[in-house]
Amino acid sequence: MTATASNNSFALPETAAKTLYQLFQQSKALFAIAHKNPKFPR
Amino acid sequence: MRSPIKTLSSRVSTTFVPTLYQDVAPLSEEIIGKIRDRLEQLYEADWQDARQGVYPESLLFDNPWEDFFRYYPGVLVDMPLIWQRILQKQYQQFDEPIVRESYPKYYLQNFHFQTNGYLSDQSANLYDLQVELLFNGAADAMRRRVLAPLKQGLGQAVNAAPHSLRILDVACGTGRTLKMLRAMLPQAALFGTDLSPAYLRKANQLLSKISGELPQLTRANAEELPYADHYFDGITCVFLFHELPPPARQAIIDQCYRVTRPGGTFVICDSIQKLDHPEFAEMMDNFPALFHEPYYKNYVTDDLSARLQAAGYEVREIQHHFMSKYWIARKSG
Repeated sequence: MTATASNNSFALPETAAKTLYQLFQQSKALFAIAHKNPKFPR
Repeated sequence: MRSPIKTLSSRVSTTFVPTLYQDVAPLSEEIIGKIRDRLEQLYEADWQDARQGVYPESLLFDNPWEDFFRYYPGVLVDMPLIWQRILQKQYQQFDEPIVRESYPKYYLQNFHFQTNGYLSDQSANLYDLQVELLFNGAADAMRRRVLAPLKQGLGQAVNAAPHSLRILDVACGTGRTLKMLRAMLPQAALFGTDLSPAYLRKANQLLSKISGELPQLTRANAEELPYADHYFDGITCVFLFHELPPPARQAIIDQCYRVTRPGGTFVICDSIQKLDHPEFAEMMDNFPALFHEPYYKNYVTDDLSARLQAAGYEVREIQHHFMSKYWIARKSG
């Protein structure tokens, strides 16, 4: 099933769109963790 | 290789942090694991709602990155001022000229130890970034949890008469929730109130960039909402109640009830409470020590369902997602 079947504005397969979403959330989390933890590797 | 800036920031942190945050208890691995699980559940619920068309998938990827990178240095620059405020126990410090009579006394605080509280443009520029840092990037996903219950409460009107809907976001701040509401309800008339002129300016900047009718933003005390009785089909309120003293909580709920039409829906999103999550009690004790939140300790044991019922609402459902609790209430009619 492709994500275009519902309300998807990216026309990506569902698994790809979900992976993209997870990566997006992880990037925000890493940004926050890097800010809060001075020992975070950069 | 470790950068000199990195080394300096570590030294500064280790010099100041233990002194500043000595009242903060470390969380156990078990609690951290539970928090991670709840975060995963939040993202799954967010994903599923977008997949099912409750709101556009584009919302899932919406983040003000430009603002984040532009204002992140401002967060760092503000930190020594915050440390100084903590050490000197100054919680009502404002550099900007403020007409104090224009605000309720409880509002004139450096909430989150922020410079100038909620009453400067710089504070408005930093706010969304600071909240996302606090919640490890999950703040918007938590806000979006108000959308599905609101849409469900609006019922058939969402499709039958979308242009006739009137939705109010109380304490709209920088407009993040209104932006989400606009994406879900492109034809509805949207309204937002807030006490901070600076945050309303920021909201206006954000909302002016998106298509559709511009939401009507009004500076107002939510204890005296400037709208006619029964005016709104739906009302949302995100991250406000923990920053209010108990009488203001009830006064605002009473006002929301007055301006909700019979059959209308009120959705509150705010912090989790000790009543439901005793396992997170330590974390809830830490929060006011890390951030200046003078009413939080009372909030975590306050029964908002009883307050909603006292106003006249019927509490239809309570939900919990990650670090937030949601009250979905309906005005009979």
